[in-house]
Amino acid sequence: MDAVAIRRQTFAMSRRLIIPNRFAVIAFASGVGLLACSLANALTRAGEAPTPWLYWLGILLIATPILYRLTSEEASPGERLALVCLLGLSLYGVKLVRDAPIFTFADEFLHGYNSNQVSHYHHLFHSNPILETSRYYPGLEGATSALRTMTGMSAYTAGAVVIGAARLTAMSAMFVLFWRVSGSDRIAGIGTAIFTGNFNFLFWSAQFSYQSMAFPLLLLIMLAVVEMDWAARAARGAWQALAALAITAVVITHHITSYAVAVVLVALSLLTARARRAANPWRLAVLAVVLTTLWLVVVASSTVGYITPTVTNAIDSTLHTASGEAPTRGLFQGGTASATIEQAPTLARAVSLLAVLLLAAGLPFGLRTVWRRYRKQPIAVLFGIAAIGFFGALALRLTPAAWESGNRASEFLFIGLAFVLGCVGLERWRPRGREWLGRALAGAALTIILVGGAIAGWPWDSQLAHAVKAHSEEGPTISSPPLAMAEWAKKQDSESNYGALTATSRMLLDPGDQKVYSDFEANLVEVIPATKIVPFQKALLHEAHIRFVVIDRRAVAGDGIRGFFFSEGDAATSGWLPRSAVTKFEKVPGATRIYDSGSIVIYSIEPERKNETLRR
Amino acid sequence: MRGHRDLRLILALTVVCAIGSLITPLGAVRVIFAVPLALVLPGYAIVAAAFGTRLPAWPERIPLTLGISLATAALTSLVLNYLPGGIHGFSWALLLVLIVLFACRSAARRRGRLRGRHQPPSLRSLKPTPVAAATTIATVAMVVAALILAQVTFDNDHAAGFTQLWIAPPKPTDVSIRVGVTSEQQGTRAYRLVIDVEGQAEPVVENFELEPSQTRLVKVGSGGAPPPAGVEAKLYLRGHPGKVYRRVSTQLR
Repeated sequence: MDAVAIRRQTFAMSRRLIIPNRFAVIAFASGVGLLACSLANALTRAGEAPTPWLYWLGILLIATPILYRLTSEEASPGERLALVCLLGLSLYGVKLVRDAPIFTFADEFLHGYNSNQVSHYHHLFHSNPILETSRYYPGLEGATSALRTMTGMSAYTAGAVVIGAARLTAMSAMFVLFWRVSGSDRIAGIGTAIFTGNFNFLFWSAQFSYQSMAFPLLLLIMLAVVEMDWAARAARGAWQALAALAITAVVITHHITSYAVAVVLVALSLLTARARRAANPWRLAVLAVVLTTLWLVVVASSTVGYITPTVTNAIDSTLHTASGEAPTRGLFQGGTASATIEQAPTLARAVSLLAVLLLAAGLPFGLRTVWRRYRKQPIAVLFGIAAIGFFGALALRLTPAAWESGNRASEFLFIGLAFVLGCVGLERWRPRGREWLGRALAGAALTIILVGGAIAGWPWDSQLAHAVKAHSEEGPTISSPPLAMAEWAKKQDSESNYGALTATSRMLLDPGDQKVYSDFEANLVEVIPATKIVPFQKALLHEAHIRFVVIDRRAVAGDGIRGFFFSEGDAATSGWLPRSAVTKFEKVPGATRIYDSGSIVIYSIEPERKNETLRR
Repeated sequence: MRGHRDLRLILALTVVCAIGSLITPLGAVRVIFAVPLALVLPGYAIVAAAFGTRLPAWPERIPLTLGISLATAALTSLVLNYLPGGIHGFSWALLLVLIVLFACRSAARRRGRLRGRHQPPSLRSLKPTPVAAATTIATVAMVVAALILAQVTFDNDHAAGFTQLWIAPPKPTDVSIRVGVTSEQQGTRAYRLVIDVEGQAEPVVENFELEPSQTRLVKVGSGGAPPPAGVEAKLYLRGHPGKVYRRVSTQLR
């Protein structure tokens, strides 16, 4: 039977829908797992220290039945599609039950603020003081505004619905894409399940951020390109038109994903030309390159200044680390290295490293299958190249300034790796006729990959969220220090600019709804922790028109993962900024201390008069 | 659109959802109308228009419907941005209805030209068994319980409480300032607030207790002192009268 006949047969099978009873039981296990994760988060918010097993048991309850079923031979394509969608949505649920329910992921505050600006001014492209580039990519906030303006939903709730729809798009598009390429719904199901083991899947890619919406559209574009190859001539135009629509949406939604779309389409065009296949997506490639370049040049030129330092720093850092001039970055740090932060236990590290070993071990077997069966398909070749490239991106995680670039790239490359590993065929292994053994090993390997990816992708001590709000001993609700400060700032209704470090600045944006600068703007990252302030630093604050400087003394002030929550009553304050970091502003003429909550102090700095500037 | 049951159904649903999302008083109920209107119906209609009679199989239509709806929502917001009035609930609903209407008309024409009739897929095979129905209800209950649990604010005796002392940033026209003390402590605390105004012989002294989340507000004027007059507020915990607990200051102009 040739490949086309197999595909026709498998797509005809799609008319057999899911097996209700078995699927219902698996979905029930996912529901119980989600409840266990929610309970673990609730206990943490209540100040208890639940055993981490409760949370991980929840993850296992969600994943294991689905993964084991996906390895079976008799599941129908419809059931497999339903299973991967259930897996994607349940794991998205794990992120939702971790939320406060307000935004608690650093990027979410930025996009929440943008969304609030759209709702307030009824127009896009309003300034974002912390991430100016984000205003020029308003696709996510624009789509969210449909729900917000029609229902009055908050940015958090509307965002959760939009990202949920995007997650469902990603899982279903990836399944059909892999099914189309491989002709096997079993490979498609396993490949899509493997994708959930990428480091960012559980939390980072589930946050209300522009990549979370653009990435599923990339998968849809790839699906359309593959369908163009297989579809009847009359349907090719339809796939091409829908792909063009999706490309345009990606271009206005996220810069990095739009570059990825352009790269993928150009690569596919070249590979298709080499393979001399009929449906070459070169028109889509040209469209993607032209639109991305036009948007970058005409609308979002500041993106160049935003991305260039990240890329050059990553290259420099990689070269320094490779030459031995700089140390390697420790693993399992989640971007922050601090002695006060609880490190992942040995077992968790072992699972995470085992997951990477399994990925590496499966690669040659998967590549062999791809080469034997699918090498005539340009996209399968691209998947193979991406799978190898993933391990290059993995090496970047050992370099301090390049780990974030490697982390971003790894998610795109993981699409290829997931397909290649889906082709390994461990589930078909039957030693001495024992069918269950191969399936059990495959199910176990998939579970380790998923859990290991979740451990590697997010700090161990932050898998469960702490409280940003709590009932006090006497009943009324109290807020964490940065949240209380943001709520206070919102009530003051001042139009002046704030300057703050990561945690407080994010909360001043949303829910504080203040214009706030952060980190490298006006060199705040050095000005705030310093014990002395020198004239040029004062000039920087004045130039940025920063009226209120927020000094957060807590050790987690610069931490975009841990800085938003209550600390425990008996928590050590040894890592706090010294008192002189606060009192240095007493010596600045015209500076007054207008807010003091112990850990957070705000100074108001009078606008500099013209004659003072001239004198200096 | 005669003979195209699915398109008529989509169009009718779109109109119902648009009206429902605009006129329903309860926000939570409006969500039931707004989510399909924004995230499902435009995608279905555009896909139907693009393919005519050659609609892809349903596994492909799931990502297409959702993904194209998302893409349409993103691009439609860009269109609304440049229309008079900008981005509002009414303009969103109207434009989405127009998009679905034109897409459905286009789909019906293409199907008509190709002399094809599309029947919506039968959902009979999805009819659940009693066991599956009971398990599904239990699953929905679990998910709802998990989401509700995630919304709940709990007692947390371990959370480190604190007290805010603040001065509202004075505006140029202000002749008085507001000094506030807000308790975010776990329990009731007794405070002594001392406010010194430059040029005034006696400080303003207030003794009070605050329950958690309560705020005490004190207004202070210059009392005839020539501006700018310095104001300094010191907060003491009742049990530690000699140790300044919080301190803020400003200039009264």
